[in-house]
Amino acid sequence: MLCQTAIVYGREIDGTVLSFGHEGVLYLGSFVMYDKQTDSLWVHATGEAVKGPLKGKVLPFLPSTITTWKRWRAAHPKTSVLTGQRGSAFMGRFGLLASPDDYGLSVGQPAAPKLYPMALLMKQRVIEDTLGGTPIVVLYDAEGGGARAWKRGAHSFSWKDGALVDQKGRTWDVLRAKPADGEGDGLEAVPATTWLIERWKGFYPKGSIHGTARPSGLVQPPASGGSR
Amino acid sequence: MLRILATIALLLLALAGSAHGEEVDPIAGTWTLFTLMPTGDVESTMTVERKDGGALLVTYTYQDGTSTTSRDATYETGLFSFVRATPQRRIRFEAKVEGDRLKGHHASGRRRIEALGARGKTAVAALRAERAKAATRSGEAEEHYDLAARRAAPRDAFPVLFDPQLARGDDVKGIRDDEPVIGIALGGEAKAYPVSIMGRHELVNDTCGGRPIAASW
Repeated sequence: MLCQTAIVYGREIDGTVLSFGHEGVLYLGSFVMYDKQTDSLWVHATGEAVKGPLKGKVLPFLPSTITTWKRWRAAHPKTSVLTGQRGSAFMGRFGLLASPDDYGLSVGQPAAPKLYPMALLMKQRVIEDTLGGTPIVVLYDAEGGGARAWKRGAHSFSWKDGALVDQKGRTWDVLRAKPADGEGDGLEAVPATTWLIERWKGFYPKGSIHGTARPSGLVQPPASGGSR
Repeated sequence: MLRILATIALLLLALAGSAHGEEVDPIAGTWTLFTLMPTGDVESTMTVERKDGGALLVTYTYQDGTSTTSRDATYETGLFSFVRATPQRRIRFEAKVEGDRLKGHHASGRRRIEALGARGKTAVAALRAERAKAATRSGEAEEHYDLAARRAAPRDAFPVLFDPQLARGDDVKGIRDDEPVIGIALGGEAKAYPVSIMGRHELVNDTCGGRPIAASW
């Protein structure tokens, strides 16, 4: 949590379902998990195993989002929700709206991480880019207080009069990335994670940051990647 | 030419002799401390003066420039310690000193935070470079992990969930509309994990749309 990153992984690696416990170790401001099946150690923020039999494997990031309860329910009326005790005010805190300059949205982990500063997203609302050759659109959703990324295919988006519109002038639903009139397919989500920028730089010193002079295109994977 | 070289050699010898002859106080001087907080290193300065009669006076200066002094410092056979008072608590600093480096911790109650220190330009620059390396991912993954990972709690101290209890959104009353949740929609199923609850568990082993997932915060 110390990097305030919310990540949902698939926890199946090479046909084995893993279950994760908390190792109690912090690494570059990220907590560390262990899996009960092989006792390998995994870094929460990158999903990468750094020790043990599964060293070098990377958990797949699934497209998840961080938004308000109201907004999530409106988009997914049949959603279920985790119940239970709350944590401390410190651990259970998400400070994006209080200090947007500290945060960014990371896409392309682990191979080609790129960060979109939240302050820039809040200002521009829509950023079109390409990620590993795939056209994407990165959006800031003011109502839900979060940012997301989608594969945009042949679409082209802009922000007009407080709404997301495509090249044909159609309005889109920002949370679900679907045309608001319900006609046509939605976009496919790109796994994207909100990070504290300083933490992200610690993990991805060579990662590119949108709108800055940091190298673009990139870059060195953070480690051995998933292939070993 | 030879004469010049000889003069330089003599000068160097003289300098070395004087440095050798002067006994360096094992603890006195200005130390730069790196306190290894979970959120990253915090730098501070610790100046140790040896007064007439051998007593030690410590001035501890925080990153923001505020400082506190302490007169109860002790140094014996490589072990240095002193206590400083903050408005909230008393903090004992203890460290093992080796030359221009020290390694120790700040302790308050049961809480201990590691700290490293160096004295003098060269030693401080070397330590700062080491800490910069630890603060940024570089080199081989496991090697860097061994360099930079720190134990904050025993394994399983955080109550990770293996059998999470979820309820229908419509049936749950206690969540405010503006509360942040981590949402995932997969294979026709949607699940939300309130950040406030995730702050307690950090990690939830679950499934969504039939796929095994782990939600983490």
